[in-house]
Amino acid sequence: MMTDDRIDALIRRLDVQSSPADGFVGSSAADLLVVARAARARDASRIGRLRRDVGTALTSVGAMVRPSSTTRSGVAWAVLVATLLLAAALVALLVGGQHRLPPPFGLAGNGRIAFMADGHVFTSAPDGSDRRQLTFGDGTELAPTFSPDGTKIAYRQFLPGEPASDPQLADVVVADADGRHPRVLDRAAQALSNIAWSPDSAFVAYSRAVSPDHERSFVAPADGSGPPHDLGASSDDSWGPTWSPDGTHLAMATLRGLFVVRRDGTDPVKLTHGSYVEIGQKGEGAEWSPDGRSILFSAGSPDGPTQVYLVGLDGAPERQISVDDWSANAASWSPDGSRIAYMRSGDGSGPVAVITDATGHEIRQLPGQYGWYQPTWSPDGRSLILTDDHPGPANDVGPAVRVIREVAGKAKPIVIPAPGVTLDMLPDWAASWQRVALP
Amino acid sequence: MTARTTVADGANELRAALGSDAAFEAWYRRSLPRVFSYVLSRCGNDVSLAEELSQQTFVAAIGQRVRFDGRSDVTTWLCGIARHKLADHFRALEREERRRMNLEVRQIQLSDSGASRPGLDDRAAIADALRSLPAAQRAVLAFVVLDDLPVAEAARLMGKSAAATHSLLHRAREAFRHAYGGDSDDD
Repeated sequence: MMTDDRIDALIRRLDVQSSPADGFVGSSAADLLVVARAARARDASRIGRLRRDVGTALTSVGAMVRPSSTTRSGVAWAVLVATLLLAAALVALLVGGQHRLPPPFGLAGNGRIAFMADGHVFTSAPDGSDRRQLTFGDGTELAPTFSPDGTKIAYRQFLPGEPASDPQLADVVVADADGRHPRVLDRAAQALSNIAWSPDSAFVAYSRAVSPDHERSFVAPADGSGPPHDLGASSDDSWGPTWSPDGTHLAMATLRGLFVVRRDGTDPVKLTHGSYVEIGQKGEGAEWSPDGRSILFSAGSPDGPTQVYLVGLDGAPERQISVDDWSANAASWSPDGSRIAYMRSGDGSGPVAVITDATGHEIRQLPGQYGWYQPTWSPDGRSLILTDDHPGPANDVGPAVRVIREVAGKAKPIVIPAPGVTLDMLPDWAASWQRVALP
Repeated sequence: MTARTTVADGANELRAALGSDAAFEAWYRRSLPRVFSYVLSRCGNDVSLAEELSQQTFVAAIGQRVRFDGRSDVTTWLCGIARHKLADHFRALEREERRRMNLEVRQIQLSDSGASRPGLDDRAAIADALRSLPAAQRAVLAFVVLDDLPVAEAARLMGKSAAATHSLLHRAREAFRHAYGGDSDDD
């Protein structure tokens, strides 16, 4: 009979140094870099620095007192110091925490999630709780998108009477982030694209039909203080305009390729070298990297499926980052620019979400199947919203917004039911995540 | 070395690691093997689980960075966090096992597994035997035998009473003996 000691000795044989696989080291390091950057950003903020320093001071006091001091005066001194530091932190939080806005791009804190359901715009807390309906019009409102400063929300409002399966005429609407004070910036637009916010949250850009066969891009002040400005009155058709991170340029898809123009529509520069059937599916043109140096776009080629491409502003040819064998679409940058998420055709149950590094090297395919909607990164870069529009055996709640927590891990997604989301309505993105100041 | 100096060293190491991408990656690559090894040996050499828990450990460590008091070196602190991740994992597993009521099935399988006895230094067989145990038994062996924690401390980690944990440890050794094929050993 083996004794207990013998058993223990056997089990201790397992306690040896092991090396993790290189692949895991690389991919997990990339994932954790995002978490570390967010921590660094928080530490760099005024409140973050204070909180960190107070925390360090408190642990230092604890460590100094713990090993040697057993006297009442030592403990009392430590408590006094800790209390004063906490009081200082509280005062700073109360004073400095008011009216703080997130930076115009890059990492930020996670606010509420906006999504469409039953033809209207709703918001909820990131865990799906505190669900609030923002729009109540007779028509259909969809594709909500928060402004970069998190204070406003833009959406497309299809007019009453437009068929839900093929709505045509829509208003460009901007409201406060809670849905109040809606302002119509452009009325009865046909073939209205997504609405893209300028980094300073003062303007929106979008494209619309200007005649039955032609679309052009426009910029409008978000407060409704002026008429929309036509970016290409004398040029080709263009659609899906998106802002550079510094707000000085916009990228636009055209029949001749992807172009970058100044914010007044002048100085067009063609970025793409290839020939495409169409750039930008479902009204989405392209997405700038947070550093403004490269642009992601989706395009259909004459002899193959839609693919995701990455093109720099240096004149070099674009590079396909998705895999030839599958269709790929709807790519988006993580807020810190370290990763890309896009949707790729799966096994017939719906597209899968793929995470790559900034060069397009695949890091991970997320579990599950979803719809062809643009993945939405959380402002802190740690989570991802994916939208599922296909009821089926693997989707017992029906259409839903799924918040993939900790993209690097295996935490169970948060499911936010979003009935009424269907492919027929073709929203380009079904959800937006509000950016707020880092705590 | 004074307590103040130790605190400063540990805190500085962590702060420096978070100071830049390059520093963080170097620190992570330096620290990961020890954390990974710690977790791997305690979860029955389940590599994917060890990878998952290791990553959770680093995410938690970054989140709790201001609570690091520098009394240990950073890697020891990381292993402490990993221990809590393991405890969480074992608790979740135990709940799952209870829900599925497959504890008896496992023990029936254990009875069958004693037919062929591996060599005493066969780590794969040791890991297999450990992995075949119910979650609570694995947990108590990991914490008491591998971590050398007092039973009361293991009990606290696992959310059980000390008496129940003593009893659990006894059953765990019995089950391991059975699973490893040592119940007929004459040594």
